[in-house]
Amino acid sequence: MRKIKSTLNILQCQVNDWLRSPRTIIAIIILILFSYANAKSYAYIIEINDLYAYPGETAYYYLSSGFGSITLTSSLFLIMMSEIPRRTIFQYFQLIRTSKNKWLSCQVLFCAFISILSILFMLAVCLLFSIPSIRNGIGWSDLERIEIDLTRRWEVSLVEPYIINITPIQACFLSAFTLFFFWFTMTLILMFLSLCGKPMLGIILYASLLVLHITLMWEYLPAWMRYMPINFSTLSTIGAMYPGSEIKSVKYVLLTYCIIDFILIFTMWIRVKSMDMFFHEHK
Amino acid sequence: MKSELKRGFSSPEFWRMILVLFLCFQGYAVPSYISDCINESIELRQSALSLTLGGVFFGGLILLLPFCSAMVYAGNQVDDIRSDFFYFSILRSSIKRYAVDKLITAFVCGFLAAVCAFLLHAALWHILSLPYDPIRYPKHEIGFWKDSFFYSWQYVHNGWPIVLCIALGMGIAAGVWSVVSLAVAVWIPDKMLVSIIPACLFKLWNMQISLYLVNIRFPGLDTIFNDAQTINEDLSCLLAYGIIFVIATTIYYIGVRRRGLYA
Repeated sequence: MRKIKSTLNILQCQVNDWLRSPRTIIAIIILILFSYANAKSYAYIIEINDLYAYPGETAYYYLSSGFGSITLTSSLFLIMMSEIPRRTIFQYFQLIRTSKNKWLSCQVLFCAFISILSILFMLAVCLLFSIPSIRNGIGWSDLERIEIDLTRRWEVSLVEPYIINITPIQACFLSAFTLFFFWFTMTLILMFLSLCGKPMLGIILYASLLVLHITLMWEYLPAWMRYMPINFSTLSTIGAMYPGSEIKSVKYVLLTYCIIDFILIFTMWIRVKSMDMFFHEHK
Repeated sequence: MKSELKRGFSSPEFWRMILVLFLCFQGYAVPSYISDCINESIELRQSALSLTLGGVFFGGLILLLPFCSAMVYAGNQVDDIRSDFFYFSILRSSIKRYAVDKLITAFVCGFLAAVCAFLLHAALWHILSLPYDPIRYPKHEIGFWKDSFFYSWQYVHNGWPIVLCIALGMGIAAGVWSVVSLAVAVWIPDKMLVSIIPACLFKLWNMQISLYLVNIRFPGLDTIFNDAQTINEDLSCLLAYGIIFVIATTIYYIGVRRRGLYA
């Protein structure tokens, strides 16, 4: 119990420090504005196509698309998490009070916590702005429309056809897990490279990967070159990568994420044991 | 002014951003060219103009231009503030002189980085591919919008007036975004935020946030370097850039003055 309490204390300090960072504050403000524009654009789609939407499928719409634009939201998340572990003098005090392994587990927990917090925050903000355009109810509105009039199946649908085989809650969890693992892996890679003494390398690497798919003409390249991390970031992109076996492929993608994360944590655990911890304080 | 310009052009960020922008342009051109070389005979391949403009119209660069132009020069302002060089510069000249020098250099560096990268890219593909000639090679025809002035320009000098017009538009946009990032840098001296805030403002503007917030539709900021350009649209876009420039300049001057007077 005492061990858990001290771990939670360290985590609380990390989160407090992170929340007070100017990068976090500015990224949150920009994310709120993006969410607002995104919710308005969603409302416009509903209105112009004479559709209606339920809360479950609205949440799925945001989660599966990475809140409108996975490149932008991930870039802002990258900015918020660009300094991990946080280079503050406080880390030295933490290391005096605890072991290196415990410190590392706190950092990993911090990464996971922030990834979950960011997803929940963005989802809450997007849903809040979407309240005027959603109707009370459960299930998929697309299914209801098709049931009433079979000819409407060719009209604009709110969600992809393969997802209506599962419930909106299952779909939401599946897309939230995909997004969580993408961001969690991103933060672990940033932390790993930071512990290796190359903090900027992780940021440059991920910033390049996030914009590569919008600058490179993938259609003209061989199929194997399309296996980029961004194509495994959301349920929609995974679905587009594996047409015909969308839901099935998500399981394999999540499993791959788990293996990568485990390898990263294990490598960091070995690295931390034999290294001198050194944190510059921000000017 | 001369020393500031020299500092801007000799900084590694300036040359690095020319390289990054140049590589971004190749994202469309290189895969298309390779695919054409494998599958098509020389007459059926994409023209030099198509390969030159494809990278711009494809989309990614529209988002990356404000980001890259922010990285060209604003980093120097962050370094000035963090190293206290800012205060010595003001002591040696004046707040007004310092601000004017910085603003002009930021605009010129942003403008030249974008124009150089684009013209270099255009020159490369004009060497490697057949020049645009829709009369001789009907496959070259690019479906420009009839009301756009690019429609008539495409038959003049293998479409070079279009390339020059887009280079100019891109230069103006990059220059203004470079000034915006300078204004951000004086208030928030953090290189990462300095480069991302202008890109986010650009994206929010193009997402029509103004329409949702205050019910006013602003012209798209990519109009001056995108296809379907008309005189009216270009003028309204230039006006929008003018307003952004004035606001950024004012914010920058207030920031410099505040830092200089209450250091």
